[in-house]
Amino acid sequence: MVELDGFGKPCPMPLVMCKKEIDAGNTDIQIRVDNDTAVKNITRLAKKKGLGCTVADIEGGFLITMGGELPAGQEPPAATAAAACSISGGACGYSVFIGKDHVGEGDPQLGYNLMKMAIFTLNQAEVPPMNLLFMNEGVKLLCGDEVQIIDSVKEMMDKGTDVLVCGTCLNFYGVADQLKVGEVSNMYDILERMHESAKVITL
Amino acid sequence: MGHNSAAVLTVDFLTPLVDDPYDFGRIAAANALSDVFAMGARPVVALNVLALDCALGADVAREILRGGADAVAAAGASICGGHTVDDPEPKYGLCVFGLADPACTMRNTGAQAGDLLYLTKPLGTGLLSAAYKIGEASEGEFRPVIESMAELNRAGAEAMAAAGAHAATDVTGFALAGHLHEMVEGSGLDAVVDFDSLPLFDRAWELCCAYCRPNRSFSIMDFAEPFVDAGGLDEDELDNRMGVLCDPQTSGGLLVALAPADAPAFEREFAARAGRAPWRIGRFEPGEGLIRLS
Repeated sequence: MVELDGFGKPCPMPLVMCKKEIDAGNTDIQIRVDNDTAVKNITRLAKKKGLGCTVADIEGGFLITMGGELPAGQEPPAATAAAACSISGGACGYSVFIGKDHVGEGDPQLGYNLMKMAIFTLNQAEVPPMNLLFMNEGVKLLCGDEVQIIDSVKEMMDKGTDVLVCGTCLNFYGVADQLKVGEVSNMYDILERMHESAKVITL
Repeated sequence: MGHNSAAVLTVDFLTPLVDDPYDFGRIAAANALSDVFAMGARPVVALNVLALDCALGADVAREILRGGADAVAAAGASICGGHTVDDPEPKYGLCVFGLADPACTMRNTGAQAGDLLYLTKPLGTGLLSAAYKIGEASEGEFRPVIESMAELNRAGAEAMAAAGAHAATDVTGFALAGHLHEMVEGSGLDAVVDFDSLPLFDRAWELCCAYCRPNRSFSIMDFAEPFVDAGGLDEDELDNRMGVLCDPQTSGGLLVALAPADAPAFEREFAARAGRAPWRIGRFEPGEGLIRLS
């Protein structure tokens, strides 16, 4: 495993560092970077080179791990999705249900940051979700000024993800006119999408 | 404007991409003037558009404006005023008014099947700028790029008018791929580009292969993928070539479409003014708006 430090290095330096290792035949690479652009371009490079790639949130930035063996018990995403399709008899793909604006319980700021990171990371996945389903306080994520969340969701939509947003919830919180992305929907459709999915992940 | 002249009015400005304020002024002005030249027009008057942090001092402002004034004078026009604001992020450019003979105004559409495609400046300003920024290219390696960005597209504009070109555009932020796509989109034509004939700055290819690419090139690649026909290249080679085709240019050269019979006149007129030959990089064929690599 080659460990690289991209902290404090202006773009495209972190990208150049990774490419140099790949060209030298090293495909197990770990690099820490401090900005979104580097994450985006390095994950793109990994994909181009057919390498696995995971991004973890670390203090002050992100840790990108390329190539190497996937952690035990974790199959490549494509294979998982295919398996899910075959066993569920028609149901296919996965949906992600987001019913609040934070992940886990504890410090609200940490919870919010984790949610932001979860949506960002979801967009980096090999197989995008079939559906993103937003309810209750989750709808606020799509009505705020957090560009990273809005952009990640938009990019997933470009890759074919359907984004359903609870209309009752938007009205309840008085943010219906601030919705930046997604399709206003209802309980019936959202439950129907869950039912159609091979797997529903609740964040 | 009457029967004998058409008016062109344009504005463009940049954030600094070089350290020296005089160079920045020349480049920003050449970039703004290029919009007028690409339309086959002659710049007449220009207004300065300058945003600068007061803390940088009057000398910096003076040098930027001197660079701009020199470029405008070399374009045969004059600066007649402008506007300045205090801004932490410096910006400079021009609003340019130009005149053209209506019969000679050039658009980016109008190329015909059988036309030859010329380019008047080397490619790679984005790659070399990215490399210079992170210390991967030296001052000496970056200097020719600065001079090229500061060069006016006047020679190309006059040569294409003299030779009777069919269409032209300038290569800027959307890279060769984006601007060439505009020339063929919806025209029933493909542009066939001979990749090996593309003029590149020294080290541009090597930097592209090393992924020393400006961030914007990646979004241009995503945009360009559907209309670039790779012609069976392997993935690595295609990725590297796309890095060149999708390298955003600052104050890049003109792309000119000409009937083969008019090409010698264009080459001659351009060389007489620029002191070098333009590069013939491809041709137009009947097609469906693609850029095909040959």
